[in-house]
Amino acid sequence: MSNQSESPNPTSSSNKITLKTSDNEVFEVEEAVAMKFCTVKQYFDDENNNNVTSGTSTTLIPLPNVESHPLAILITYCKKHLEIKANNADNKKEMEIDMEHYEREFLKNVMPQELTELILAANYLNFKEALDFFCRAVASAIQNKSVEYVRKFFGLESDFKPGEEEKLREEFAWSFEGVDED
Amino acid sequence: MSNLPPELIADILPLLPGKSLCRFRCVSKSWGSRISDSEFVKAHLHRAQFNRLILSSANSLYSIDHENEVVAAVEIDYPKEQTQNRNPHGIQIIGSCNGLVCIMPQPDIFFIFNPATHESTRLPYALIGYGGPCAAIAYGFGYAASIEDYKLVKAAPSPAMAVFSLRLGDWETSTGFFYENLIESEKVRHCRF
Repeated sequence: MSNQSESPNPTSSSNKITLKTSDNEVFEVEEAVAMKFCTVKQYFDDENNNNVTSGTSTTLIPLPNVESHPLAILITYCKKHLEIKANNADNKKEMEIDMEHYEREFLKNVMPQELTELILAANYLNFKEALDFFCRAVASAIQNKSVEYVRKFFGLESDFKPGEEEKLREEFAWSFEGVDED
Repeated sequence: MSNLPPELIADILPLLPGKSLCRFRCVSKSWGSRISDSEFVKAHLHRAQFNRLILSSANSLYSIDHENEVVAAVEIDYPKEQTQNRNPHGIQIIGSCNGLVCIMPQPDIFFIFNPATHESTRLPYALIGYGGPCAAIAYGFGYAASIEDYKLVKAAPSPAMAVFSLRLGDWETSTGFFYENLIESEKVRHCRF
């Protein structure tokens, strides 16, 4: 970073960045983690550019659209993501295997309903890897579910005229076989 | 609890398998129209991994997932005419492309079908004749990306060649193609493009 020489602590890996959520919780995270959140990185870079001229330093970054619960999960996910990447820097295949294994374990502790807030948070933070992962997780959580489950999951209501839905159900009757219970 | 906006739902839909998408057409009108939209279908196709083999026997078609540890053959429904005519060679698989399969389940009766969605199209009879089960007729099924169309080529021992366009839903003939010469030279058995 261009202004690193002005920083009192030149080892960027130990630099901490403070994030403040909409419910006023404060998280202190390593710079490497925070920089995976593109929205934070953008804010951080803009602030630093301003600071070069003004000479002040801001360490607190407000996140008015993110609550503490999803942020804590995203930070955990991000840390692990970086760790797996660092451990397998020269072996992409191994990295993918480790990541898949971690993601499988990770989902055991996440309720399908939590995925919605995680997607919204990852989307706001512009954390692409997490957004892709949670979208894939939603897809696998709903793929064998009923139409009613999916409506409830996404908060949608049927807007078909009477008879229209029945016609579609008849046309694609085979796709309603072997559906999981809600 | 807040809900996902449509643009994020749009990121999730292409990740679903074909069967789920068929069922979820019933979720709402906007889901139905998005899922059947041609751009969506193309994007879904682009992501799809074709890791199934299709196998035919006398009266059945099987889908084989050969990438799992346990290789299993699952019998799949296929379209056919309600006649007693059987193809002496069983269900002939003419070709497959982008997940669509072209089959001849009965003599001179062709279907292009999608095993993932169970949708199918029965082709009209071709302009060039059916020469009996042993006639030297060559077929080729393929996708022409430049015009986004699936085509079936039927070449019989005659100076004409018939080309079916899925987009047009009909056959066209082109002349000046001498299939006999190709048979004699034994070099070409199928026409692919």
